[in-house]
Amino acid sequence: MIKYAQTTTLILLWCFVFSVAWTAAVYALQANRRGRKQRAPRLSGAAILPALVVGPVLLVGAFKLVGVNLLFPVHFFASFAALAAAALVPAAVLLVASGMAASARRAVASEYEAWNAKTFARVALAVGRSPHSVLRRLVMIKALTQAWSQCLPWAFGELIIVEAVFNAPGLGLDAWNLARTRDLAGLGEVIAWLAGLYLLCVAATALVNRWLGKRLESYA
Amino acid sequence: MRSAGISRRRGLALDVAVVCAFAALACGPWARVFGERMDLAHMLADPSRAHPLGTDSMGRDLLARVASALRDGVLPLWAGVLGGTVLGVGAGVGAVVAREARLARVATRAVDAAAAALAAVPVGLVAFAWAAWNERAGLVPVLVSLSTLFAIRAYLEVRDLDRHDRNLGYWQAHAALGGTVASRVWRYGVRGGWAGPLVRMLGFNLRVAVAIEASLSYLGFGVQEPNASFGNMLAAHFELYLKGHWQILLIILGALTLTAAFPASLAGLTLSWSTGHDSAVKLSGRRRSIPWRSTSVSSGSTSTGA
Repeated sequence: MIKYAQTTTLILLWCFVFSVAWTAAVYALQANRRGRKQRAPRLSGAAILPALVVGPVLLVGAFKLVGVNLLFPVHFFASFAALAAAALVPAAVLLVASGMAASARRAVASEYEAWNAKTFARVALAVGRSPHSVLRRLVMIKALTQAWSQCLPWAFGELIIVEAVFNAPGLGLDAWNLARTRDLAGLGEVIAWLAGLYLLCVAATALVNRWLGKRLESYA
Repeated sequence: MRSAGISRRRGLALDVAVVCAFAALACGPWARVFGERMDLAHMLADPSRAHPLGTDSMGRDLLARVASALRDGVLPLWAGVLGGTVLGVGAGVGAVVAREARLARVATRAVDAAAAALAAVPVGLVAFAWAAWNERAGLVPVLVSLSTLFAIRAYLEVRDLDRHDRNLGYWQAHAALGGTVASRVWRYGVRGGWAGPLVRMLGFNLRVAVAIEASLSYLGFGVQEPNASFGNMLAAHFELYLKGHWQILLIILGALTLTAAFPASLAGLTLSWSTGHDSAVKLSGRRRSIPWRSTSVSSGSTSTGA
């Protein structure tokens, strides 16, 4: 079971890293186009592109066009580095399929707009400092926390399908195999592991939210 | 200003195209015209006049299969989700109206806490666990689990909207003038400012339901062969994609994307038709019109127009 939990954790960790990088990129874009009129995102909510659409297209596209096999290597023979590298694409698919990318984009736009109008941002501008650098950490952490709290349930829902498509030996794939063989005891154990991981993620998000709330009291 | 008008028109045209394409696919007599029988002599045939989208690995017409997946899988699922959402909205409105009574207040608080805990559970995982636990594949377990979960989410959405709107000035003015909660909820809520968010939520639920049903069918816990579903069609042809049969993958994914886009497009068209505003702004969730002439609530602050 540890082996499966390791793969799932690896995918979730990469997903977190990607979400941080994505939020930073979106923030940089947002700050650079401050003069232009913002257009509202066309679609709302999470799960805009299901993993069932993104996964097979990437898998087949990479295999046919670039000759890269994105399926997971056999866990027993693979080194940790190979497993970590194999978890990259499933994590990226999870980021898109759970709606985290779209949610982070929306959150950055709205938070930037809200905090840029606050006095401390104006003061920074008045004393010659860039308001973007003053706002960067605040907006990024807030947008990231918001996106994770909104999309965590969808991410865990899509995890099974991502692991099934990429044949990643994680908790989701194990749950699928156990459900197919009607091993309800094993399925219960895997679901308990998944629930534990989920609660851990929810607790981390809630802690960051609380910490941020306390810090933001002074800004209000 | 001009570019905004062009982009609005483009958005509306896209919405109309999506709705028309979906309606043609779901309501056309494709199974009768092209047949859905197995024909092993014409497996994986290219598109032709006899089979406009080609055939699958069993020689069945792909257009008829996609139409069958929509008619027998997606539409009943949407009916269930719609029923669950309407039930949840009804329960939410009931809880809002009953909040004046002390006993009801305590009960509502308990229901709220239970609903919030249930709503935090991943929908996909619940549907999967439910189907596996019942040991009964098919549309019914998926439909029951999704309807229940979306009913809970709709209930919480109404409670959330009420929590936000009951502090607005015109709600409080109505209460001060002796208006009842029920009339406020009906007039300003359900028929007013809540209509947009509720329609958007319904669109989102329908879209997610399609994705979850397709995922479960892909995993073998949803709709089973010979009945058609996007998920089991993808799963049945997975090996073929790697051997270069892209056509089926693209057709199924295109139909799945069109189906997932349909609720949002329909919601956008409905909102723009009913309010006269553009769908893009409505769908963005940033602006909610309220029935007070030109007053609008934007990002939590109330502003009065000209």
